[in-house]
Amino acid sequence: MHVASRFPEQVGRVLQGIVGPHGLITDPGRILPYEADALTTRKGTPLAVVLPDSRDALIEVVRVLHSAGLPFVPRGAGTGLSGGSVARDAVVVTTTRLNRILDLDPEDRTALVEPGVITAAISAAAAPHGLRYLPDPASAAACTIAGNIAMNSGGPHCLKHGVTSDHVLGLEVVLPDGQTAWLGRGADGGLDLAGLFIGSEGTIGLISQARVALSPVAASTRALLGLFDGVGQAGAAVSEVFERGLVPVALELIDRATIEVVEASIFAAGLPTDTEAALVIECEGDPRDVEAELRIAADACLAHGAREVRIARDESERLAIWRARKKAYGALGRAAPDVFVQDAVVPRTELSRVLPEIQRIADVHRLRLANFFHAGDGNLHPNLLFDRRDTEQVARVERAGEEIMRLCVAAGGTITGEHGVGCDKVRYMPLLFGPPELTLMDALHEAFDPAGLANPGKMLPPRHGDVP
Amino acid sequence: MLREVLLDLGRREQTEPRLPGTAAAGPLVTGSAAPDPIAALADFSVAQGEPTEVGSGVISTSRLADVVSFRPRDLTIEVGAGMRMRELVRFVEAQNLWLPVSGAGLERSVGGWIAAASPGAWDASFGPVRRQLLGCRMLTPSGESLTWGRAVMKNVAGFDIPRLMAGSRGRLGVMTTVTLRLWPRPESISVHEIAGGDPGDRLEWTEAEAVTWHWSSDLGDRQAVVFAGGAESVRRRRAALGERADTAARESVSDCPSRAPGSVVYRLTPGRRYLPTAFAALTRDLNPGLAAIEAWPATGSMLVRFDSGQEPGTPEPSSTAAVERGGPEAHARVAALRDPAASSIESQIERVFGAWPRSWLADYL
Repeated sequence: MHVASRFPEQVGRVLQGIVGPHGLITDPGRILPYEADALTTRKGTPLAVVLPDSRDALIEVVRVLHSAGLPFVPRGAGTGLSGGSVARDAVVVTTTRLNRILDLDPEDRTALVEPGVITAAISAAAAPHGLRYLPDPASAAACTIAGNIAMNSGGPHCLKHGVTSDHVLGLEVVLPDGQTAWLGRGADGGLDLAGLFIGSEGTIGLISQARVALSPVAASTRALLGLFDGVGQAGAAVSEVFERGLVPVALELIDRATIEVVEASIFAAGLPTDTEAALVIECEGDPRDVEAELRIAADACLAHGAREVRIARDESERLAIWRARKKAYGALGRAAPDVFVQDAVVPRTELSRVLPEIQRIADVHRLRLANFFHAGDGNLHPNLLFDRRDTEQVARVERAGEEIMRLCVAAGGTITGEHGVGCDKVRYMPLLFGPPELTLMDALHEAFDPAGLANPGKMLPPRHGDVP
Repeated sequence: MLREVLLDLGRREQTEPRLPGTAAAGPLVTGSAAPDPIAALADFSVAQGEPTEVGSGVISTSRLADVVSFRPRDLTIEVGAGMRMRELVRFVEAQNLWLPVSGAGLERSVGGWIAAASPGAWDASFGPVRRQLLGCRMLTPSGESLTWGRAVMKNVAGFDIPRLMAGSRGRLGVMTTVTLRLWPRPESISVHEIAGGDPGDRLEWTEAEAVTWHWSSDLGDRQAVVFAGGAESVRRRRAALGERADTAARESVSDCPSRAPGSVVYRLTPGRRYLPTAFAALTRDLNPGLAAIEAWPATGSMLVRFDSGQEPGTPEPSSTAAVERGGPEAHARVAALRDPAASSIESQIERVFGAWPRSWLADYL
């Protein structure tokens, strides 16, 4: 086999000695699931997949790969949306077997976890103490904490509470040469080294342990649904909410195309399909405060022509309001073979201008577009529906994607708010950064990974003269 | 253009750098004996907020004090790093917006506030200083002008350099502008003080946006409780606090000011669980020279001030310790507690940004 012949047998034997016979996958048939993450358009065949089951094994695996000069790609649950864990001629190091919560201290409100712990499992373990881990990426039930940390993941409720970086207190990292270090947030008078590591996409090492912050569960959580006859009106209402002094915990927008798909699916949530845009606004805290905040949010919607505002009266109504938003991605999966989701961010007030422009780009390229996203953060998720078997259509998706990126950057925004650069958005990095910034980031990367073994080809564009 | 600033504000001949107004500090840099003189000096200037003349030059940001870009409806602002925090706070509050800054932070420049990234009263409710920084422009020690981040609420493209700059104390370069996240101004802010009582009586008032435990050698124990939010909500929660609380205006008053002459200020981070123990031990043991403590039970961090040139005892062993302000002895004491692996990573990062010429200092005033 071509693949097996490229993975040195000697290294395989050493790795098997560390992780056991079931901890190493070299069989091409069994490697297949590791070819891509949740972004189906980027693929690569790993040389091998290693699944260490202890911290020591993880460190030992990295040391072996480093001395063998083999590039490696860290991987959690493979739910990433930017091709961050795609491995071409590299060994995948999967953390899913390192899934223990090592310590949960309700008084200190911290948890020490292994990298492969499922994000939602931390909140589940903290729940009996009235605590939770706040960041809530859509894939929280499946994704791993180290994957979240590598990408600095967000989620709907990061609007008020902050993204992953705001909830990580310290990291034990395995540098590309196998050395370990505990990195804090600068409380020791040093640099915020954990802050640099968070969002570095596996390019400067792996995470072997993380200490995360836990926060109290809110006394009460309520949501409303605002229905609009125009996306522009909904966008204006988003800004109005903040201008009225409110920072909700979540503020999401769902457009008509999404509503139509959801309502035609088994996830139907009872939204009128002639609605051009719906806002989901959630507030939490003392029930009396939440009541007042919902009133402010409702008024902001009505001030911008909402045709209807539905305030959830109980928990089941709240969950129903969220159903359309949370099941949208799944419903889209039934409407088209493939979905390409973008992750650009624009200043909030640019939403009402940028959204029609994105629609125009999709129209020009004859693509179906569905929007559901974190409007409160200005974090867009335009979804382009396509069929990856149709190469001509894939080419149109790529062109539309690039035009959307250019539009958002020109509006003062950025290319990714929470999914990461991965291998998918590397080509857009020069839209954001000039040569001096790219050169400095290269130098920073090289200081950690002089041999270029850690997740090669991700996040940073190839250096001048490098083979792409 | 930034080079012009450097030259413009440039050269002040002085061979032996001194910490002004600090008799106890003496010469700050003694040739090559100081392991990291420029870093330590930058730390001083940031923490102290006074002109610091070092070696042959100072890079001062004091003339970089304009609003560069203000987007009130997007809740973002970019300002020169030399703008005074009080001025910035006045500016944004006039627009009905708000920045979560308290205590000693108000005495600093914007760049100094970011570069020091000291803990504060609002950290638990609005996030620490680093969460407020969306981007910056900077001049590296090697003279490179770099721009990081965007004026948007989320951004994960590339290394998170803004997070690295927050708390960097001038070590990686000098920030010339900073882009900050703003917040809607709370409809009502109500500050209360509970005086006296024994240490066991201190509450972590979960209903408040900010709680600070104060101790000072002259006033003893006080607790400041701050409610912020809708007027109705503030009124209701204030009532629940009962009659023990006086309404006060302590919010902007610091027991551990960044420019207290002759003092050494440590930042300790024992964490939520151990903070009460550390607080009690410090006040009980009556360390000579212990002047004041500010502690934030919700985040488990505290500032501890020693006065009159008294050398403090070793910081609480369970704590992570940093020097907010102090001389070489304090720095050496804290450096001994650090993880050498992390220190070695920091040296590598410093090399990437370029070493400061020994005679230059970033001064955020």
